[in-house]
This record gives sequence, structure tokens and C-alpha cells, in this order.
Amino acid sequence: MSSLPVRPSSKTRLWLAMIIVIAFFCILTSASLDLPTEAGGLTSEALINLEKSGAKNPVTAVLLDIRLYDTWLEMLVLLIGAIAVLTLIDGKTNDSPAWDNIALYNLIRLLLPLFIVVAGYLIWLGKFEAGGAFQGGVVLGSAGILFWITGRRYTLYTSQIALRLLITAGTIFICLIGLLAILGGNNLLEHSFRAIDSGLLILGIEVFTALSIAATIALLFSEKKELDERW
Amino acid sequence: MVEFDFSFYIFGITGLIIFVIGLYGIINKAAFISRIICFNISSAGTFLFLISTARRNAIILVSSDGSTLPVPDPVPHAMVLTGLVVAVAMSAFALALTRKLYLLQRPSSFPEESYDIE
Repeated sequence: MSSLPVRPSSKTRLWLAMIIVIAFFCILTSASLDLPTEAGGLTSEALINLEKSGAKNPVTAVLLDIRLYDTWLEMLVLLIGAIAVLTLIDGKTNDSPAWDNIALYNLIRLLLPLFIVVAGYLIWLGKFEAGGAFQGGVVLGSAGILFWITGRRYTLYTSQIALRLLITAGTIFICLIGLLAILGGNNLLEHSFRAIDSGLLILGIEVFTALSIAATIALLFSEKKELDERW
Repeated sequence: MVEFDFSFYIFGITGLIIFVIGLYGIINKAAFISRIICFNISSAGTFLFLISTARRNAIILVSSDGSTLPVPDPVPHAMVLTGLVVAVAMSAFALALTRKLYLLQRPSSFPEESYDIE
């Protein structure tokens, strides 16, 4: 019946899994209990560099200034994920739940502006408090998902160039910052270069990163036939 | 520095338990969707553990009026924030692969959840 090499789970396999899991848990627990209670960490370094970074929230400063290289590569991972999903689309799914539900339609009409406002607020908030590009981008992306699953197909795909720009916006923006740093005689994404006007720069990174996270999440969810034809 | 508190152990070990539950599912489930969900459970546990380590390295700032403000280590927070998005991308890719496999294999040969039950 099965052409795939699927091993049905047996009693032995269950016990083996149990033993592995319990052993893993014991090792990890003992290792984490052995950790020194005061490790120091990087808190003091982050706080010392907080003023230079242009953000008032240490998490945002670490994410978008001190460890910007990390965030950049992470955006690339997201982009590669989106491209990989797009290559796997074959457009053979049967389409459109298309619910003609008037209550649902009006609920979405009420909720969608709220999503956008909350996402914008979260992006702006990242400079001072917990919040920022990732949270805002995820809220915006989930608005797209909500819009999609309730049968209202958004027109994100009307222009290929616009979509491509949207999902690469964060990566390209950080790349441009790095290039500007190199042209200015500094190292790639060097801290001292970005400190010049980093308040504005951080806001720019946040906005573009949030936009491309939102577009990518909405895109990952909404793989459909229309997308395949227009791509 | 911070007084000794148990919150690291409570949250950290809860994170480890969640991780291990996901690991059990990854080992023991045959259906691909189940495994992807279990992978997500595992990653949630990992993130909880990583976040709970941030508190160990907190620094207490004392402002001029005498009020204290504990600042946890921001580096694990930033790592978890990036990790969440990477996990989303990875599970989306895994789900797309699973769907592709499903479409190629057709339902008759696709491993269902019923393989798990003897």
C-alpha cells in the first residue's frame, strides 16, 4: 500500500522514543542547573552602547544596531524560505473558499484597519519599548492571512515588481546601509558610521523590515493558482 | 546583581519539558504534518528556555529618585525574535514540501495519522 518508507510506530519504537526523550531531558536539566547563577551576559555592553545606537529600548538596539548583521542574514533566511515555497507551487489546489457571509465580511472590514494601526503602532513603539519590526510585521502579515482565509483575495500580486520589492525591502535597505558604510570608508555595517543618524536609520530599518516580513508571511500562506500564473 | 530567584528554573525547565514533548512527537509520529507541528512545539520550548536565561543576567538600574529598574539581557530577546521568524519560514517551507509530496504521491500512498495507531 505504501510506496514511502514509513515505519509504522511499534511498541519498541515508542519505548525507544521515551528513553531518548527522558535521557535528553535529564541531560538538559542537569546542564541548565549547572549554569552559574550570575553569568554576567552581555547586558552591560548592550546598555553602554545603547546611547550610541539611537534606540531607547535595549532589545531594539541589539536587534537593529549592534547585531544588525544577524538580523540581515535572518531576513535573507526568510527571503530564501519565500523563494523556496514559491518554487514548490504548482497551482493545482482547488481554489477559493469564497464565503459569502455578510457578518464575516463586515467583521473583516472592521478588523483590518485595526490590524494596520496596531502594526504601525508596534513598529513605532520599538524605539522605546518592547515592540518593533518583527512584532509589527507579524501583525500586518496575520492581517493578510485573515483577509485571505475569509475569502477576500487581496491584490498583492497585481504587479510582480511590487511584490518582489516588498519581500526584499528589508534586505535591500540593510544592504544599502552596508554599502554606504563601505563607500564612507568604514567597515560593512560598522557601528560608528550608523551612529551618525541612527535614530532615523533605525526607524527606516524597522519599517522596511516589517513590510517585508509582513509580505513574506502573507505570501507564504497564500500560495495559490493566481500567484503561479503571474509569477 | 540580582538576588537568587527561582524564575529561571521554573520557566527554563518548563521550556525544556515543552522541548522534550516536541522531540517525542518528532521521533514517534509518522505523519509529516504532525512532525512539523511537533517541531514547532520544540521550538517554542527552546525559545522559552532562551528567554528565561535573559533574566539571570539582569542588571538593576537605580534611577535618581531611588526606584530600581531591572534590565534583562537583551541579546537572548533579539535572538528569540529572529528565531521566531526563521521558525515560521522553516515550517512554511516544510509544509510546502509536504503538500508537494502529497500532490505527487496522491492520497493512497501518503502516510496518514492512522499509521501511528496499531
